Amino acid sequence: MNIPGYRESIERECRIRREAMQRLPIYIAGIEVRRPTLADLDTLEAVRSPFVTGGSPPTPEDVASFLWLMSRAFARVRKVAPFLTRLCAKRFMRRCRRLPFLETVGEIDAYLDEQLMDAPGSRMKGGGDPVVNGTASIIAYLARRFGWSREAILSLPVVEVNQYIRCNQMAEEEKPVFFNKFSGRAKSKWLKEQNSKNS
Amino acid sequence: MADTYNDGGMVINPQPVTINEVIYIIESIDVTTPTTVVESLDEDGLPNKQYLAKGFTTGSATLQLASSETALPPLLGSFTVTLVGGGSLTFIISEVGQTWATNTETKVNIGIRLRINTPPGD
Repeated sequence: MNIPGYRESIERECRIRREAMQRLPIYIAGIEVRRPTLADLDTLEAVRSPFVTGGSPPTPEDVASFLWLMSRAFARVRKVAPFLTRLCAKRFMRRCRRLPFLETVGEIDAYLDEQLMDAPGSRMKGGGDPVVNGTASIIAYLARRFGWSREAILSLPVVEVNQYIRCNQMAEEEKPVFFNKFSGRAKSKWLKEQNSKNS
Repeated sequence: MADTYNDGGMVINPQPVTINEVIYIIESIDVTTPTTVVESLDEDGLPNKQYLAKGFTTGSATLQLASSETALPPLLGSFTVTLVGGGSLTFIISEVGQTWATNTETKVNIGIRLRINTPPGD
């Protein structure tokens, strides 16, 4: 059975998992960025960044603030010379004005798609309301299994966290269900096409 | 021949299955065939005869649905999987378990039993 895009998706997923434990530099529109941590995702949610909350399309300001938060430059200045943060942010925002907007949005989406890969699925429970914060649930899970502190878990890249959760699922769950974002997407698309042909 | 086998590696490419006219993709098939053994010992207590009977082949699998709107596979529904080396096996769904989902994928665990008899007309 040849599902369009399936093989390529598997290769992409393998590469992302291989790189999940490495510290390779990542660039978005030529700007070096960090891998997002759980704390970063919480911050992006708190500031209602459309890159993580969805909804309205991102603006150039959303792009600039996203890149600033995730940039290595911000991490460095905050660590070495926090009093220069405001000045550096201004310069950075000016630089962002020159970026090609649509291409940069596309690169940010692709970066998040990859960095958030292998997230565990959730149980479908017939329309019940959510009862717990997602970050708290991950912290509780990893703290219970590995004894890590809240701070340690929050500072781990999400792509790495998802690998630990998978390892644990494989070791402990009788019938773990895994979601492979890119190959799964290719399969879902193919299934929709086939089922609509049949109906 | 081994007493059990795990054919989770059977599907190299994604394998679609049709259940009740709906297409799903099957993955993580895990089936086992136990045997019943009757042993016989001679007057010195040493093994001299044995009888082995294959039991029912049962197991589990995961089905990927087209979307969260797709009908769940029906209990007692059946489907056929194609083996890599040729041939096919037909299973009956004996259990429909928990459904799991992300934004883009929906999956459900099922219990399965190998069909023994071919219904008339098949």
